[in-house]
Amino acid sequence: MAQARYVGIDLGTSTSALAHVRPDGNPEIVPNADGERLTPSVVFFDKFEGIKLVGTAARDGGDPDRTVHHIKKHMDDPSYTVEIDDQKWTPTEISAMILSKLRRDCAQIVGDIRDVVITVPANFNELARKSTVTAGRLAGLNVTRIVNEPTAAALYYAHTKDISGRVMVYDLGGGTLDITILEIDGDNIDILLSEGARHLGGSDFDEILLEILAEEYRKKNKAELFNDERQRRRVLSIGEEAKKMLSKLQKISETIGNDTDGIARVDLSRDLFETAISRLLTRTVMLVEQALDSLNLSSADIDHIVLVGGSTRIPKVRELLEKHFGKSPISCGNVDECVALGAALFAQRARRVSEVCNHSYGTLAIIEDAMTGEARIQNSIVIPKNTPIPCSMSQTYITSEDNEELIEVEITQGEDLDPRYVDIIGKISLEVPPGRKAGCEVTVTYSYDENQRVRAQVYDAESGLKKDVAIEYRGEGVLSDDDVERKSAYLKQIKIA
Amino acid sequence: MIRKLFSLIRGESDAPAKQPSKPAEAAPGHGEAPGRKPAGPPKPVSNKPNVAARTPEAMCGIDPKKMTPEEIKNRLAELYRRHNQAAGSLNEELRQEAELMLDAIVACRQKYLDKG
Repeated sequence: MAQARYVGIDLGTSTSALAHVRPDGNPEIVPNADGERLTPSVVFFDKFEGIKLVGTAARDGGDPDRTVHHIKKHMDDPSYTVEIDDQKWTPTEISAMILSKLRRDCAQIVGDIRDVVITVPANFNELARKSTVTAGRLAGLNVTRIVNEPTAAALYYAHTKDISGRVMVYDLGGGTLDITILEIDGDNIDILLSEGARHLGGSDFDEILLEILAEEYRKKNKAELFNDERQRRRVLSIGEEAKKMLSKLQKISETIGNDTDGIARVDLSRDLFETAISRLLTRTVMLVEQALDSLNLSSADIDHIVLVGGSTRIPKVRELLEKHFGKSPISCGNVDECVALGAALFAQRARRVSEVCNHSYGTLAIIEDAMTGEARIQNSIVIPKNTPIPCSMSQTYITSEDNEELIEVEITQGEDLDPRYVDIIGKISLEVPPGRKAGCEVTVTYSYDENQRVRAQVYDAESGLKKDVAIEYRGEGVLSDDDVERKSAYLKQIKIA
Repeated sequence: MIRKLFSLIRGESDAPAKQPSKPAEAAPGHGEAPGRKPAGPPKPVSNKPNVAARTPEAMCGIDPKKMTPEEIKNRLAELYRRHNQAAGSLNEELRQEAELMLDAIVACRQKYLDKG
């Protein structure tokens, strides 16, 4: 079978999509075996035949207790598992099933799929990025690159529109908000900054609408609208449809109910919905402000605001951005598909995209306040977030105690100076000769390459000793190579439809 | 968990020069990419959040009687940066605290800054 070239996958919270670049250089979405361009990121664990259903069939039918939705929201949670039939499944494995479905279905149309680019939210932590790559491996894919979703969307936007200048991509998807500011100059794209917010997207709006419907039902029928997960899922689905209608209509009516307490007719208005989600929308505005502030830019410095993600269809989103920037945001075109389309383009032309570090990397160090002389342990940043990559940066420190024989450098991820608010993702230990006084110089160097691989080096000047390691999160939630091999073999055996 | 290691004395960088059309005003400091101000690190937020406090104002350390809207805005922006990032931490306890703080930050923002 022929092999598809330049394949990109948007592994989304609500839906996923696969695209490839056609011989004419334009990307296109490859439909799944059900004829759909977007595959719901839902997995149903069949009880009788052991089949794992992925997609619309999984979303629309079946026992909710055996159905997994929005697994992407848990990719960054090291302890999260789903338990079905006494078997625990990690978010990585569930995601691998979704990727397997895409791979198998789309291969029937475009040929064997091996090398792929997968998109992730800009603010995905180390674990979530690693888990995404591992999910690809479990599904039999070679993940050549991970790219941030707004970067992919921007690439697609630049490909389809003849624009240049400074662009802000506002990507409000099913589960996360990503803000990326970039400069487009012809075919070249320079990412200046990426910021993200977790658990801020369409599924959060759906939950709020669910609460509204439940409250209205309570008022009218003096009873609870749902008492089990199956009923809750049904109402959630009604709410999701209502949300979509409220993006087009000012008022709608929905009939909701259950078998025991009857039905109720509920009127919903766009105003009511937008007021209910206002606190989440305020969070989005604050992220926009943070992004601009980080680059010392004002709203006027942004030439184009590009909307990506299904939740940008909500009129209030557009209204808030228009108010903030004094200009109308532009839709990316197909807001649901442009991330996958951009990922396919990225697979082809990654060299034309200049990216930045997704996180700050540093170490813990005693830092003296120059004004007060007070010393305290802080997160000492070596590579700040949003530094253009590839890059290599160093900080030199001195040992703080006499007779230190082991220099231990804890590797931090996070931009906060307070150690409490950063993750420690690794440690380098360097043995040095005994009997030394405090004050020996030690240089810590971090390197960040185009593939978002980070290396750390510790160099002790007095002894000339050094140690160089790849920074890889190996904590809880990460599968070992043996696990990956074993689970990959298992995944090949199970039937995914 | 936190070991005292070193005292910071200087930083170096060989990150590639890259500038937005409007370069940052601040001169590059130690450990920064030349010619461009990276997005971090933020200024330290001194007051430790108290999520057990009842009001959003107390949680955010906001005193509307003593602080100007600009001061409130800056304070909330600093807290937002910290807790938005913490919401994606590997530490579950920290993630939960961050979500509570983000709700409090937004409540204060809507009450004192977005009311018009």
